[in-house]
Amino acid sequence: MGMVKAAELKAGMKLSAPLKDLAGRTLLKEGAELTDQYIQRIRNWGFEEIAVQGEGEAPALPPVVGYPIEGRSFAQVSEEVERRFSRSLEDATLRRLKTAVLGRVKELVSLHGGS
Amino acid sequence: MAEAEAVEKMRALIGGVRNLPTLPVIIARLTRMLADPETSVKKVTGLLAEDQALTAKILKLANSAYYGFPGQIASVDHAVVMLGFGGVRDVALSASVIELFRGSPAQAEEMKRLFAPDRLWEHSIATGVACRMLARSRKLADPEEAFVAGLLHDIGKLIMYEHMPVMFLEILQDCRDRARPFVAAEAERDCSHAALGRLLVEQWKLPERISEPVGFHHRLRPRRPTAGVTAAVQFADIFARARGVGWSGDEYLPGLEPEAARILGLDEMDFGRFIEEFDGQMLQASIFMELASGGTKQ
Repeated sequence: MGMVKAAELKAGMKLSAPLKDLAGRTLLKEGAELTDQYIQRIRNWGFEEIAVQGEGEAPALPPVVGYPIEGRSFAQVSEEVERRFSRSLEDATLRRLKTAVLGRVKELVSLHGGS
Repeated sequence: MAEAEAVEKMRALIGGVRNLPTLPVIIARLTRMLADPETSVKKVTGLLAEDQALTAKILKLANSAYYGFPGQIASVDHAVVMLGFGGVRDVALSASVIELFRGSPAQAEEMKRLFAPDRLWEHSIATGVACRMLARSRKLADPEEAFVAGLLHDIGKLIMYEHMPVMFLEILQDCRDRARPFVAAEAERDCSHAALGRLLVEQWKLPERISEPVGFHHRLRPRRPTAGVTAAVQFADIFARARGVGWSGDEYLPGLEPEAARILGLDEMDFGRFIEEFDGQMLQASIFMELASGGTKQ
């Protein structure tokens, strides 16, 4: 995890560990997304450094959602995608959606796929 | 066959079904309370205190990554403040409906090959998630209510699965053997899962803001005040299938109506970004899948 100085926090950053007070009470949960309001509070509470997700560590791999990817090639998964869209080819919006889905599948196969 | 006739037939069918699933009485009472501007936080928490199991579920969901509240929500009072009355009702409703259909009776082998309630829930949760994203970014409706509408859009299929298994299996086989969409196969049999779902949701006395999107998700009524959410459900359903999440009985995408695309501004939409956000949200929504599969994971 990476530590970021309270003065350098930005809205949109997410906590990589819960923020606790001296008594051990949770002030902000792990994963909480910082807003300008929270950042102000963190500074008011007197914290100097905060553990923030993604700072100083490799970016997390995108998660596998949807079509099974493991052990499959792009050709195999894309065939399934093509079949789902096979009755919707006349709709320009859905063609655009198909391109985006195939793009995501390609990315996921290259990161998580096999063969 | 005219749509009105299909609705009539569904009404007759549902009238003939005994033991239709009923929601816990507390949900109907909550809904009534929420419609009353005089209702106080105290009244709502007082009602919820009568059902400890439901309270526990509300707190579990409210503390899940999906709602992403900073800090621990430890009491119902606090949950009401964070989620609002409507939010609490929606969370209670989601948990109750999923539980209602858990442990559906086992069906014939052939049915198992073509359909599984778990997989439909996966599809429904994905639809709810996408619907909530659209409602929020397009400011169409309350996002949590839009989630519920998406979650319930195919509830009619679960009624068919449990109470009309012979016809339901026929439809599923037809989809597979003749490579056609579910809506086409059911229409040929004067059947409509959307109309069936709407009747059930009406019977549960949920507001039109939920029952209409369920009933009209394949053919929206552009002049109804609910057209925005209905359009969101229509596209969210298509999107969940396109993204390959879950299974709703057939392989093909249902049609996207030009009016729905217009309401949602799909021409301008960056689908790549939408997918990225959706994938992240889906992971956070895993708490709902745990409910659906009866998981005990904390």
